[in-house]
Amino acid sequence: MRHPVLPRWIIDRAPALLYPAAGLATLLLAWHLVTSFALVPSYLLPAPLKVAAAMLASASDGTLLRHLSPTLQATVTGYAIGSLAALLLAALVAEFKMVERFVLLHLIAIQSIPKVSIAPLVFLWAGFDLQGKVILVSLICFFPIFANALAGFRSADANLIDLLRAAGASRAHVFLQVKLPSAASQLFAGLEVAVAFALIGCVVMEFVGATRGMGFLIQDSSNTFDLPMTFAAVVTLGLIGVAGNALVRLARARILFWEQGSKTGALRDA
Amino acid sequence: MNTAMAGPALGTALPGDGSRHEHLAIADVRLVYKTSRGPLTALDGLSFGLGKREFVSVLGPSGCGKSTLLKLVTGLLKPTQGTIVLAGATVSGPRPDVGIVFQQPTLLPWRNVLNNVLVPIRARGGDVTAYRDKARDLLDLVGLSAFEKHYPHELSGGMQQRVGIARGLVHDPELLLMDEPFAALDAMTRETMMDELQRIWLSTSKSVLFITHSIPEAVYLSDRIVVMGPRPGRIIETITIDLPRPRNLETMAQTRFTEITTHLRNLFRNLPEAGAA
Repeated sequence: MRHPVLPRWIIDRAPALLYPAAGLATLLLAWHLVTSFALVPSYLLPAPLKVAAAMLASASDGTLLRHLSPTLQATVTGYAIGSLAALLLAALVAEFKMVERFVLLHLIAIQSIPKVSIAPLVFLWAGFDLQGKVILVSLICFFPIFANALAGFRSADANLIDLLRAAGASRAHVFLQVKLPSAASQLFAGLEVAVAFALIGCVVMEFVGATRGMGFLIQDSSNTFDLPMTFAAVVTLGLIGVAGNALVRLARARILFWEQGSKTGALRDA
Repeated sequence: MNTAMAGPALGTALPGDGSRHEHLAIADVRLVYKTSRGPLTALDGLSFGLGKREFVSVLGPSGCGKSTLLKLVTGLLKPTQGTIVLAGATVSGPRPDVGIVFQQPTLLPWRNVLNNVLVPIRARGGDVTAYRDKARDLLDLVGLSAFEKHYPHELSGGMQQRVGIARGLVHDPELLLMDEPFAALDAMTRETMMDELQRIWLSTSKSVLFITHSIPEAVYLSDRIVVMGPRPGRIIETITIDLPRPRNLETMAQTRFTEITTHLRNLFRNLPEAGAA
């Protein structure tokens, strides 16, 4: 059936968009009511419209971008370095028993340290510029990706590996043709989690010491009781996180094309 | 014991074997795994042969070391004792002149059907273009020529298993090893695949070592059945199946077919419980 006004793609996606939108609207409305009836003092919880106004104002006068750009730069750089290092080390641990013996136990031990607890140390060693933030971000991103990649490499079908080995495949061939693609699904799960972790690492470093960045903006504005600005900064970080996550998921859907089909029905035997 | 049966002699080669060229010879093979609870004997005193173009099934309950046997023949495991000679040479490492078909199709989900068939060629660094036509012929043979561009997830279980069979044959191995290839399929597809396999085998002249725990499947397909008992895996009987070929649905209705299957059922019923250890 054809709707006279709305295009097809909106009608198809309406249920998927409508329910979350309604949920968000309800939340905003509740927030608005709580503040307009002064159930919570406005210096503790600013009205949503004030937050929106602060967001628009800081976006138009360049404040937001001035603080956003160093945060984004450090987050993306640290994320890239942390992911690559994790992938590489997971591959070495999966492939070489010797490497596993040397490093795996230590990595598991380090994993249980809350990485943000060493932020002051990183600050002392590397300062509050890009360098320090990149170090903490890559460290914090490393573990979820490493653990997922390693589990992924190990999940590769043993029969398939036997088949290739029996056919005379080299170790590199088995790794590239079977283990790496087999790990892709779990690797992407790790990459998704690491997006939020990366932002945490960066903001924490900016709390510890910075003159610019979203962490600094949040701390500075809340110290001066400019809570609309604090909220605007937090919401912006949330949006960045959602966007980063969406990017990773988009990449996943593009690269792991074979995953979607396996969930839907297959052909029948004729 | 059913006296109507041919040759219930324990572990001995049957008349008729000697006249054929021995393609695969397994002699007094024993395999002991080292486990955390001490050594575990998976196979003991295993001896049998496989002639050229012969279809031999290894039939046994789970835990009788069937899959271990498969790994030994492909050279992925070394026997603790005894020798395995394939095409005149002792198996001492991975052998490319063997094709393998597993219980699960184990295809690469990220490769299309044609490229999945070509996996063994790529694995040994061979010239893929030279084998493309061969792969297409095999897909034709297994009835999938219209699906070469499809991905595994777009195929049914039976079709995926056919791709697995084509892949097992692509490098033209003399011997095809099949490890319960139809066990994961539904009963209907299974019967179709039995017929398909018989047709493929009759038209390709390969030797087949077929591992199964299905009695009718083994009787329907085999020239000879090696019956194995569990823990440690050993041969308890070898039976020659003298049913005429090609076999079809009527074959299964023949008295001879029923006699053999009944005999085998009784044989397993009298075995000590497999999972007792």
